[in-house]
Amino acid sequence: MDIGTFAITRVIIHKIPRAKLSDKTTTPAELSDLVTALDADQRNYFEKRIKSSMQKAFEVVWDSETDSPSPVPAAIMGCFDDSTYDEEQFVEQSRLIATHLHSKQLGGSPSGLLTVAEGTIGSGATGAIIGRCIVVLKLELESGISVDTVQTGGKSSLKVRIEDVTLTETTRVFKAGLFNRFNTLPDLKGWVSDAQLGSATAGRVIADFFLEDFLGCAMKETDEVVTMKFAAAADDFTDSITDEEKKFRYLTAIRSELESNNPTLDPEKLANDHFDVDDRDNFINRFKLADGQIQQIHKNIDLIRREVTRTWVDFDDGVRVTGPPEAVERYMAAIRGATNALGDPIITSGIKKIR
Amino acid sequence: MNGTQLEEAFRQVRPLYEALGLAVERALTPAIKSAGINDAVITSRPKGVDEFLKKTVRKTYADPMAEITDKVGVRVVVSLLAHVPLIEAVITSQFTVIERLDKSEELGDDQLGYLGLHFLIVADAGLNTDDFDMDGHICEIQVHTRSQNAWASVSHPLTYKAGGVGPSSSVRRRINRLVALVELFDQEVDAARSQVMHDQDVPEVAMLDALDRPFTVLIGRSYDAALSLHILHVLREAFSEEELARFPALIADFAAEHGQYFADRVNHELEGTSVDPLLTQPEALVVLERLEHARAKLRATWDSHLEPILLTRLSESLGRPLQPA
Repeated sequence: MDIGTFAITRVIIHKIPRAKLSDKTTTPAELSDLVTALDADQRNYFEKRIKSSMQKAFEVVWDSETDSPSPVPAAIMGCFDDSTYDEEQFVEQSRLIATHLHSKQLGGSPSGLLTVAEGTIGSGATGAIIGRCIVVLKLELESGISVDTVQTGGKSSLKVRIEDVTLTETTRVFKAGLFNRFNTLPDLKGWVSDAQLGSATAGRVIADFFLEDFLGCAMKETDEVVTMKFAAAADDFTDSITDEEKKFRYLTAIRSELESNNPTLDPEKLANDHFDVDDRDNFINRFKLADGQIQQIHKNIDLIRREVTRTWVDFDDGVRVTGPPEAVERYMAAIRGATNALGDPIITSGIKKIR
Repeated sequence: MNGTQLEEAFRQVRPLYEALGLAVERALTPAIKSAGINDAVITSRPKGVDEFLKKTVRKTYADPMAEITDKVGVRVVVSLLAHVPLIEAVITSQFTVIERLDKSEELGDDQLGYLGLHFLIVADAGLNTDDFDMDGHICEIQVHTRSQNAWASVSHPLTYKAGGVGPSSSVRRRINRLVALVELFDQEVDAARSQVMHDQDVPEVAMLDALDRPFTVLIGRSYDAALSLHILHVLREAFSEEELARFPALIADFAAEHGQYFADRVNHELEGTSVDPLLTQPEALVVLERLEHARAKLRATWDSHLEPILLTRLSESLGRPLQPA
């Protein structure tokens, strides 16, 4: 799946008003009866927003263990059943998805737009298989984008207005799920992104709501395993650094990120924030997925807590310094700066290994 | 066949030759772009009825309808002398050539005169249109540099042989003296270009040269070369010395693997009205290459010299969104 090749074929937009659980029936969702007509600029705008969201997405699968299954996976699967699928079906399934979102959304959620897009991924010219995919996109109504209800032959649809289609909105809140063709629920595979996932305070709650309650999905790999694999790949990277001072600095930064309260870790951001320019791509490319995305880490350090919370420095003469990463770094810095009466460094032995 | 019959006969076949010229022009245009030449000017023109008749008066033909082979001419004008062999390769690969005439070879080493490369091609059914069967009909193709073309346009009316009598010796001498300038001009332009390409102080020119062909083949649009050089001046810092040393091969390999993806993205964006102007520049291919292989270095390099938002937008248009630093 190369998300860069994603192209929208049709879109429908439903309006989800803000409503407390008790007011859901009196403040219903405004469901469209017809797909939304997009011109090429609007189509490009939505495609770019979806591609941006998917660049930092998590791979998900069907959540088979939930007590209260979401109807969304079955509705999406309905869009892949070629024997019955047509535009009418697309509209119908999207209405089911919007209704479910409205019924589940908590009262505190702002009003927004639930967009369901049908698209293709892949290019025949490059030999890849062109495949239909369905994207479920939840965006908040804010300045820059607005919708008007349009009646056509007694049926309603939403007309979109985007004030500046060239505007790059990095702050706009998007939650998106992209699903490739699947025929049975256990085969469901997709990608979910959520701009609020990175929030240390609300991230997990939002993830649980959007991913599990609404989309009916779960992360493909457990957080513990993903985090462990990340740490192993990060160790490979630091092992490739020959400058010991730099290696130590990078190791500390990685461990600090792993231990932070932030529920997610973006390897690209970590590299850009802490590593020298020439070393960043060496790190980032280790987390590049086959489709060009950068793997995102939903953190859980339970399996590697000991490694993350302690640093070991082995010297050539057999001396070992160990402790919390920041403490060892301070200690090492102090040693490096210290000299004896003759002005020579106290430690003359080289560093054998840092881990 | 008397003059009136000849006029009527040519008048009847002229639309076919007009269509043949356009068909040859249509076949040549994409093939020349695929050869990496994006500034060739290709035109076609059937001989006018009066021109045809005048030619039968000036020269003696047993069967003018069969013997006059330039009833339609296609002209390809290129900027560089170095492009002429590339155009010849395109012509010989596209058509059946029955005659090749290098006008410069007709001249002795002590003579100056008309320069240019002429071909007679015979059409096959592949050039047929709904209205005309082209099979077997002949079309002349002339290949000129811009300066050769300018000389030919100016000199032709001056050397017109009224009543078989040519211009005076002094006029011919004046006209032919200009040919020496044409030869010199073309050779100096090629030499200067070659020197610029190898100028170590301006490596961006060589980078642009390496990009020009794949970009022309993939996108087929003209671009702002000054803007390209400006951006490439920055982008080259996102490459290591080793990568820069093999930049042409690096770009050729990348274009072979990802060129179609690049073309698809550009063409998809071009369906809208708000197209990022940097997307239709050759350096966008370099940006895509760096987004694939060294996105962090690209981000850092770009942001230290250019507006960060420009790269963010371009990366989105290329389907490889890069967040602001």
